[in-house]
Amino acid sequence: MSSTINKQPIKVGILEISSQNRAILEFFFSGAGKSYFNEVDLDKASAYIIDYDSLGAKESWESTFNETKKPGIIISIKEVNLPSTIWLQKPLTVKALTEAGESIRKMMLDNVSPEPVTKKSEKKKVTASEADIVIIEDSAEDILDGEKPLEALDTSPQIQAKDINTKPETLSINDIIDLPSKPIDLILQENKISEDSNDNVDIFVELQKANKSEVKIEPQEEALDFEADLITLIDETAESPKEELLVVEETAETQASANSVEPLITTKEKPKLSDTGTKESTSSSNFASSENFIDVDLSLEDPDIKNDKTESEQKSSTTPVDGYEATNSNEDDDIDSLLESLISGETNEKPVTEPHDKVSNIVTTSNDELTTLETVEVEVKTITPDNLADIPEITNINSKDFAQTNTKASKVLPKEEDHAKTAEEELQSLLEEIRQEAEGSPVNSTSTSSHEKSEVMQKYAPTNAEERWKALCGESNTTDLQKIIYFNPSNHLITPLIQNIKRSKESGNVLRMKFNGFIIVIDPELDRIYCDRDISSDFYANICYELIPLEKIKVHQLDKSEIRLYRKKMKEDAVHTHYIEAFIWTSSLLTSRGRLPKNTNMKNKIGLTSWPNLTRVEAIPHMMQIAALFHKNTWSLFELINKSDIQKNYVIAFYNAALALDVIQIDGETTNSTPLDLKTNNKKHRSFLSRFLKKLTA
Amino acid sequence: MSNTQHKKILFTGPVGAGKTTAIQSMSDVPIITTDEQATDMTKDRKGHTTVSMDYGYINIGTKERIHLYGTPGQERFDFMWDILKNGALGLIILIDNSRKNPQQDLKFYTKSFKEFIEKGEIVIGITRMDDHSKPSIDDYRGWLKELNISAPVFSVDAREKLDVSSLIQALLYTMDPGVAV
Repeated sequence: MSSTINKQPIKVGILEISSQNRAILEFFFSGAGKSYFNEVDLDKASAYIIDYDSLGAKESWESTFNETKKPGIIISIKEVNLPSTIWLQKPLTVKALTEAGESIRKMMLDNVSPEPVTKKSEKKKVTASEADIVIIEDSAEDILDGEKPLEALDTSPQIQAKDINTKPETLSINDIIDLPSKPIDLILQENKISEDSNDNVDIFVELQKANKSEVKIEPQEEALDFEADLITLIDETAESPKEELLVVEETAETQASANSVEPLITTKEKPKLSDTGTKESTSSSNFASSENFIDVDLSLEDPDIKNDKTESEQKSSTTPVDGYEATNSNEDDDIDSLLESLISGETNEKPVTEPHDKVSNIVTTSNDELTTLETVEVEVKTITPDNLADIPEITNINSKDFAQTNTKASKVLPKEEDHAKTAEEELQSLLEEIRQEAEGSPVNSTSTSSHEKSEVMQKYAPTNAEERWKALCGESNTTDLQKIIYFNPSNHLITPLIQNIKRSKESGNVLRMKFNGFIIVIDPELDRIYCDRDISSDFYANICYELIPLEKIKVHQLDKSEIRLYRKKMKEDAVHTHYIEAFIWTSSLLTSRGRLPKNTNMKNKIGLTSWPNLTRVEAIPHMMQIAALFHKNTWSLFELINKSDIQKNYVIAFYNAALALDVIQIDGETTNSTPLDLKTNNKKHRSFLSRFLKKLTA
Repeated sequence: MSNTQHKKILFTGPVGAGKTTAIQSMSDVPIITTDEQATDMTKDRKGHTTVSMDYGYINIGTKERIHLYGTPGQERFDFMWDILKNGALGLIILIDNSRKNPQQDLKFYTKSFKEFIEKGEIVIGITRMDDHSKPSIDDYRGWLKELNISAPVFSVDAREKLDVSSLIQALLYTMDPGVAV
């Protein structure tokens, strides 16, 4: 082995790989594997490493190998037999990696490898429940032995999970030091980023070849953290293939399948509010599961993939003109009827007044460099019945023709130049950018405390409050039911927002959405969202209200270090940190502004399955009463607006927000429940309650 | 004050959930409390605890008054609960999210005050959610569904008058959604 160590490290390029396995490899490369591997750019690599369980890995390897004919190490749970490759079974161990390094080196020297080689992990036959323990033990031991000659490594396959179970904490600094003849130099460095959080102390461990005399040891407390970090790091290798497939950076494969497979948000069966009569399925108009909510493509841009889109997929692409222009091919009928009605002036008056034209332009401006926060103001006319003729035919918004023939659209739509970067470059810049963002200050803001946030939220004097309510609920101050405006939620930010919150909650992953330099980070564990813009700003109001090219939204799953940075930021920047429910609430209101989601039947009976968390959402008039009315009984929007004195825009606003929060249940058109006559309750009691409420709200 | 109409609202919940603080936030007068130095396991959570009740009130005009009563948190003082809940307009249950088993607390208090639940005169406030985000409001909603209870659940800071006021407003609207302000 000593002769091997003197050899030059193999220049290795990493192809598709999960973030966890990448972290393990990086850890290995920086320490025990330093003499075997040197990670380089793909074009300079002499060999490759690929996680074969990652999406698109097979295709990636095929094309790379066909092009370069260079050998590779294939990491996979299942055995992979390919020429010029070495299979490494998951979970990764230092020993297996070093052996693979030897083999690949030999393969390169021989310059031929007709037969595939496999390197299985020794302890592959543990049960699932024991797997974690085995991994910890196995890997820890291997790390200690990482610089030992391979033949000296105990390859005893008889290590039983039971034995390991009895002493899971086998790795400590003292153990490392005491191990005989371990030429390992340990340097522990505390990451100062999270010094205020005991849980988040980050230890970087560098295992370097050196004499034992060079060993530097930090205090024992850090040693424990080192153990924990190692265990955490190694633990993650035990992920199932399924989990690895959940990496949110979608690849070509998922992108291609996104339009052909069922939507990500699936309809959830809900208990009915009543047991009589024919009822509509909740899913038919539930905000999160509505058919309006198509599954949008959230992947990194890739022009090749776009070119490969089928005609039908192109048709399904959305055109960012809402309410007046249908966006999907299957909405042709709606478009026709909509156009007819517009011409006849029967419906869909001009959308709610646009008080923020300038800012709205920013929203719809496409910026070549999405990684910057710069915005360019351009003129974008609001689409009205008068300029309807200017609206282009329904087409693929990504097509060159569309962009060239419509100047308005060309400002909205991504240009071909946007796709010039390769996926790898983009990903790298993305990761760098995340760290910069997390370390830097939010746009247009400085660090703020909870107290400052409170001031911001309460800044509305009566007049300002009314202005805000207009932005949230629209301007209609009548109960005239003839003037209802509809919109298609699937063309707005709210749809991918809800989808990603759902994904994030289900997977437990912290996700970061980005659109035109505007960032939303979803942290399900803390139940918080970090948004780098003030959600009470005109900018955010318009980004919600305006139609946006949803395929330009990029979603990235944050790794541990990024999460730490963002959590630190959330702690310091209360103004930009929100409860998830509150964020959905406000975003939904800003999207709808008194309009109803397309296909809403105003005569459907509606009930609340749960009250929204009204102490943490942005207040709108009558929200408490509307919640109580929908909770106590089922009402149609039509009934409630007719029978109560509450303005329709507040009822509709509440309905939209509750729908987005998934606490609305549609109960069909039946009148199963006894209609609540709002005027027949005990007058004396009501009078008392009314006085009490006045006192409370004074 | 002989013609004054009296109503009362009850605050209950485990030790340290914020009952005394919530009443303090709403009361028009300094509250009367029967705090004693904690001697049992309560002392791990706070130095003093309510042994009999907390009391404050809200005046509505000159002739009406809403009395706010807080029950002692410890179960061994539960004889006070029956006395206090008699004639109450509604119940506010405060659950401390930082305790070991908030679900059990929820079960216990909803069962102990089931007469309010049957009449739909109950709201639930979850305290200390800022520091302890789990269990979430969604978890509480799920637990309430399991208990077949339908009630508003809000996260609250008992020190914030606005939060406690929102709980009371929700209680009043739950009792009569048709009430107009």
